[in-house]
Amino acid sequence: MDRLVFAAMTGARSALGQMAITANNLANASTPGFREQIAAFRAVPMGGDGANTRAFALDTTPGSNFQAAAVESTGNPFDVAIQGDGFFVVRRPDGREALTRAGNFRTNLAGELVSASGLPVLGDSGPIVIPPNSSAPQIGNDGTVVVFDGTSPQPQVLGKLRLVKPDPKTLSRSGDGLFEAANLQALASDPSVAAKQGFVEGSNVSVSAAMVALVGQQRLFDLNVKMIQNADANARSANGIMTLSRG
Amino acid sequence: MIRSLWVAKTGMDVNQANLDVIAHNLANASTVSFKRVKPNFEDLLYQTVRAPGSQTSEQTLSPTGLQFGSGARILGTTRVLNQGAMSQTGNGLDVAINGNGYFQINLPTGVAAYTRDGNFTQDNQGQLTNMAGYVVAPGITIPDGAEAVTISEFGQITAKVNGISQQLGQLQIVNFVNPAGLESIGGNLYIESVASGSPTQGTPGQNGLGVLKQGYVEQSNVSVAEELIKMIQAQRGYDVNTRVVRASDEVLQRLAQV
Repeated sequence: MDRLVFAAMTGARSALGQMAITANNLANASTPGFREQIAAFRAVPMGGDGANTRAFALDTTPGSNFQAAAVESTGNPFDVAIQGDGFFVVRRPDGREALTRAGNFRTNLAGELVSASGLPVLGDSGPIVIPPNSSAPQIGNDGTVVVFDGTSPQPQVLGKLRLVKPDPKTLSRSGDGLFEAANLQALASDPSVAAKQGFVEGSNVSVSAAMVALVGQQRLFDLNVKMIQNADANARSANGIMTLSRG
Repeated sequence: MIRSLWVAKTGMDVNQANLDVIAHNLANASTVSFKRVKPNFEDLLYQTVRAPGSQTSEQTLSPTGLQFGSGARILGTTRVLNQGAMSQTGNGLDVAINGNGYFQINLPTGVAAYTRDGNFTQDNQGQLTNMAGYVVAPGITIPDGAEAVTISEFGQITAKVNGISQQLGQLQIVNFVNPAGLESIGGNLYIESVASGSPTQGTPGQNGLGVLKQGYVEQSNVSVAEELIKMIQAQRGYDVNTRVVRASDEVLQRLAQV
């Protein structure tokens, strides 16, 4: 049978893989701080003796789209959005630090400011602890967190959120959806990153672009299947010729 | 069988859960002292099929990787504790807390529950109770024929009995390290949970606790407009995920025809 079926098969398989990535983007169209996954194809030419006629397709996720998403006003003092580039730093239970854009924070049992999944959000000197019986925190544009504890009119400064700006080229998405950067531990707050309290950043998935991509991927799959059917038809007629000549 | 089908299913689940929460918030848009609930979503685990830089042969490295996300899930719900608007009722036994704190209610089971709903009344023994008839801690009895019951900002309850002004008791309120972690049990009541920490009692207006306002109740902090917009978003989010299901189905159908 013609070896073109295998080239068409890799095309169909990669189209399915890309559909899975588009499906993931659409499923996360309302996940705060989600960054769209980029799906791409890479051609892998088939080497060997004779003419290089075939190139297989390989689906890849070369990275993420780090464009800022729309922010929505929630009025919740525990929601913080980053304007422009930059990330919040959270600490995983095993001590490793990670980056996130999701600013829908809350407090945990110890009064620490934590991410929605319960990981402490780091300030310049460790987690930020909100004392009991204090007012709701007020977070400044530079990330300074202050509360009023009701005993004095002076605000109590609890710390400053660590807002970092790593090089997007060094960022990678880890299995839990958080981002990791090279030399993150050494990365200090960048004064150019601005935070905005009472807002939460949504997902930067463009639903319309993803829907169009989905249609494209579906048709690409169809085309590749059509090629497989063509190869099948060719092989069938070839078989027919053989049968005739034998007779 | 095909990843996108299951990923789209998680997307539908998330949007459905979002609609459920919105429905609950809207249903309680005029419940006294209701605090709106906010669902939190996150992306599910990623499967790294090929890491960038992995070996493709002895001499070559893969220039790009392949990571499949497995969709989204609802992580949990948090209560947004913003103060609701104060509305004047003119009822002498209505009390609102302006600031931090919860009233303690003694449930008939002996368990302490907490509420910000200060829509109080009296039972047949003259005890101060909530609308369900549960006694408000520490248990204050308003004697028969008491007139002009006043509740001060700091919780002292006084009344005129037979023309003589008399102290009836002191309302205490409590607060928690993490009040958003209280467990809802319905009836505007919360109970202590591992996440909230244990209650610390105090006098209203002291150590950062709120003050009491007699004749007012705290309204729900649900913003109807905001919930309606979120509802549209959730519905459309559901729609696009069903479209992915359809596309995946068509792909499988095509495959079966080969």
